[in-house]
Amino acid sequence: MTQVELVEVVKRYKEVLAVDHVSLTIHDQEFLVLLGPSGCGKSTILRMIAGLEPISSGEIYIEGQLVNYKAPKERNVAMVFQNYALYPHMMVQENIGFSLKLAGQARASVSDKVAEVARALQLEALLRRLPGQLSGGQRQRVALGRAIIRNPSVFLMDEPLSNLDAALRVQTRSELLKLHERLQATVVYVTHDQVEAMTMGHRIVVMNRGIIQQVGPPQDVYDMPVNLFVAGFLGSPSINLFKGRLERHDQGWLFSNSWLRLLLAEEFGARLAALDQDPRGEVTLGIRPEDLGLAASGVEADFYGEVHFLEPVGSDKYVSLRVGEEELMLRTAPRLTLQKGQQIGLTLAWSRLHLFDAAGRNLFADSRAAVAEVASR
Amino acid sequence: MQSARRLSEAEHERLRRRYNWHRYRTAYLFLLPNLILFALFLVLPFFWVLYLSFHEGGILGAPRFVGLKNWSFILGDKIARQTVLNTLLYMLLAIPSVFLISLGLALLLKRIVRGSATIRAAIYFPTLSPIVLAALLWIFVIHPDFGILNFFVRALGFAPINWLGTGTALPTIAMLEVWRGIGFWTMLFLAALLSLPQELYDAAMIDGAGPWAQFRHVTLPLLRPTLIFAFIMATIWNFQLFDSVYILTDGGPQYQTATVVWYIYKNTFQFDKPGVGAAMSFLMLLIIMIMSLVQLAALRGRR
Amino acid sequence: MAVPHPQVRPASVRLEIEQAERRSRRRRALRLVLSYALLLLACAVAIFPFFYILSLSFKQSTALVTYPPQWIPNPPYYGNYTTLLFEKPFLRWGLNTLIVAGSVTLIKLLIDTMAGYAFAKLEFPFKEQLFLFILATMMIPFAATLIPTFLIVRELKLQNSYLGLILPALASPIGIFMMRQFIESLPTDLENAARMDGCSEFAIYWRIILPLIQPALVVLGIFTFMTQWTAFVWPLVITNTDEMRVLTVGLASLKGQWVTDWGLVAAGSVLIMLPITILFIFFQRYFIAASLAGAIKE
Repeated sequence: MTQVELVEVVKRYKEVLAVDHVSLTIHDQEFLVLLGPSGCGKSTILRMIAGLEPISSGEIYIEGQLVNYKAPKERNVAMVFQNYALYPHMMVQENIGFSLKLAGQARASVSDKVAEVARALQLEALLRRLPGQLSGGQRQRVALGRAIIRNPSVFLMDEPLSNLDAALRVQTRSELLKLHERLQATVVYVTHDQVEAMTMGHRIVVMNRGIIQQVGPPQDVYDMPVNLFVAGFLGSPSINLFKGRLERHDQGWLFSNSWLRLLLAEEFGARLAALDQDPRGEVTLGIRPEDLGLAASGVEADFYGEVHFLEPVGSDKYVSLRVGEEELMLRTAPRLTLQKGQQIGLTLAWSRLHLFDAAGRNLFADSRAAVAEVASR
Repeated sequence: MQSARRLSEAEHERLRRRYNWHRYRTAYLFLLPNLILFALFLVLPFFWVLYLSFHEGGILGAPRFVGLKNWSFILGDKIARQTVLNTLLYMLLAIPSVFLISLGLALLLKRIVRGSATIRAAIYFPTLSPIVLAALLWIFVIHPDFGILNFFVRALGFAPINWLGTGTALPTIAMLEVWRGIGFWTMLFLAALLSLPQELYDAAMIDGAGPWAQFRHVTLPLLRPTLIFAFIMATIWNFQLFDSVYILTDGGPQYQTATVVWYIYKNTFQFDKPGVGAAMSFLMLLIIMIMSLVQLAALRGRR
Repeated sequence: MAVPHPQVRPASVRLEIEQAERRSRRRRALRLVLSYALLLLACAVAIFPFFYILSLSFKQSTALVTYPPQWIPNPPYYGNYTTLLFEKPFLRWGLNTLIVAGSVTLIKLLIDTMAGYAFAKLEFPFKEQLFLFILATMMIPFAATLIPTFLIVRELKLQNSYLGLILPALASPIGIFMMRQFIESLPTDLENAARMDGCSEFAIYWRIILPLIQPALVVLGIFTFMTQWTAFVWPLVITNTDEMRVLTVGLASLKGQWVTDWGLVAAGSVLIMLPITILFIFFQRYFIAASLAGAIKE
């Protein structure tokens, strides 16, 4: 069942299109993440679903009803704001119960429901406090409580974790997911943090400049980014990208630029040959740090590089390599000893290699499957 | 593959209009009371004053159209010219005095900490009084026989001065307004001074500047926008001098303290020449509007 | 040649340093004393006339013209006050002023916050033009519109009435600017959260915005109240009976053209300043903030 549907939604500010013909279907009980850099339009979409931002053109349906011209309170959606937006002059219990009080519910029934929600979020001890007396994490829970109590069709969350410190963020992430399951709610979640997106979303929607770049389950989007932007946005440290020419010789496919001549492996070449589009010409090669390996002794390296500096993070070691004029990042086991300036041989995981054409599109992306709900431009 | 929109453009237009109307209606309702009041008591009078200036009568009887008669009258009337001169002279006396004293007091206040609140309260006190009250108060200050000023004059060995007499009346009124106004301007300048960044003074001190040099090279340049703003504001306010003249001198002696607003009042409510009053009102309106625009321009430019 | 140890300065140098320090300390102390002296002089000049009139209010009119002046009247004469309060309509004047100033203040607080909220947070067509319009009306001085306003009020048959005193006083744009500026500083998501919770626009204004701008309300309230308390020209023009006069006009009427009972004038002045003084002592900061805010339009 569809909970929310966006059809060709546009948001125009003067001459700029903040949201550019976005179409999207959000399913019941789905946890959908809108991911992208600031200014990409994700918050604007959220606010348009909420009814806080008028829609320039297009249509939004919630539970089958057109909501373009409905006030927020008529849409049965609840929102958790980035800065929580708690009413500073009201106690926690008044903040949570405000919507019910406005709806005219009896005071007894309101306080019962508030107590229930407070129990679920462990806020019972704080009910009579003012927002100014709460910590960030507590305020966030109150904001959640305020949304939950309304039992809406859709929960909208606008970067709710961005104001929490790192440890609290991780803890709250899992709590949010548990809550989502328990409430069996539909959630539309906006963030610029790709770790959040990857760990939380059933599906993620990657956006840039008002246009949906890719929609899909997190791992799919990570493994098969449909363009350069998505490839670069997901993954930390980010994917290694370098430009060059792709040519076909008798020996096979050759990727070359000013500092690298790479003969592509046979199985990879076979995939290239099977493409509809002719891949030859200016391309960008992409390989993630974890898909580069050190050539074992006796194995011929695909190419060589010089160790520039090392970043041990405890569980892994990230090695910055100089290859020609470019820098590559490589992920290896944490206790491997390497010296700065050391020359090492590298191997590629060929099945994980990406090639993007001159326009930035992934040559191997199945345009039907991965880009199902993207409006092509 | 693109999903198609399900409603036609026309239906969207219709629904959008209705929805927007609901949204805008609230905003307009919030503005309505003020807009009605402004229309009735500011905009309408603005045009009516001009209309009246071309008429005679209107207060006691019906207005009669007389064309430019009132305008030529005020341009030729000696008293009308005198009122403008008086008002300007008064401003020339009062504004620099009040600024100098207030700025000085503000600088002094900036240095001290102990008792600062009480001193501020005392200096500000006269500003709290209605002008008429201050004027009545000053009758005791300037009274030839038992006034405070003449007490000191006599103590110094001079003959008591008639402060509201010829030649001294206008400066006396200026003195009164300055005395009353110092509280306000001191607070204004003090607030401006306190907002100046301390680092510049520290830097100047390191460079060896003494207090006077600091004032000339740090304080004054930084205060320029405030001073300009204050000057124009003072000009606009003081141009409308009326209350103290009404109480103390009724324009005399020999129209030496007659001001523009006083003359408007007289013409309208005593001489039954509201047309003349209206013409002067409109003239004053134009002058003040120009000064306000200058103020706005000066402020915008300074940003 | 013995080189002096750096830590031990010769006695002569030490003495010089001490003398220099003492001199600069003296200079600074002198400057401070001078500052205080000047400031206290200013305080005296500001306050003295009020004390003088306080003492005069307890003297009989005939005894005013004494030389040398008697600072603390002994015995104090209460006749001025009794005459003022019981024979003259002073209490009535006070009531009128209270009603007018109070009504104008309350109404202004309501309509200016509503308008300020609309300009600060709501979107609607012609918003910019309307704002410029209000900005423009700021440039119209009241004195210039005196005559037509008088005619309008008379046309509405409101001369010599409370409404006649109150209505024109409501047409002042300063409050809108003050409120707009203050409300702008409230986080927008606050009203958005309220909208999502189901608040109507008026409820947002009433339940969310108003409680959060209390300091601004106090400042605007004091500013409006004081402006009305001290207003003179308009009440002078629009009222013509003792019953409807306000304190300022009433006080002025005590000064006759030929003969004046100065004791009454003094007593009246004291009574008018009394409530202001009490309020001022408690709300000093707000008073000064109010006068500054009223002056600063931006």
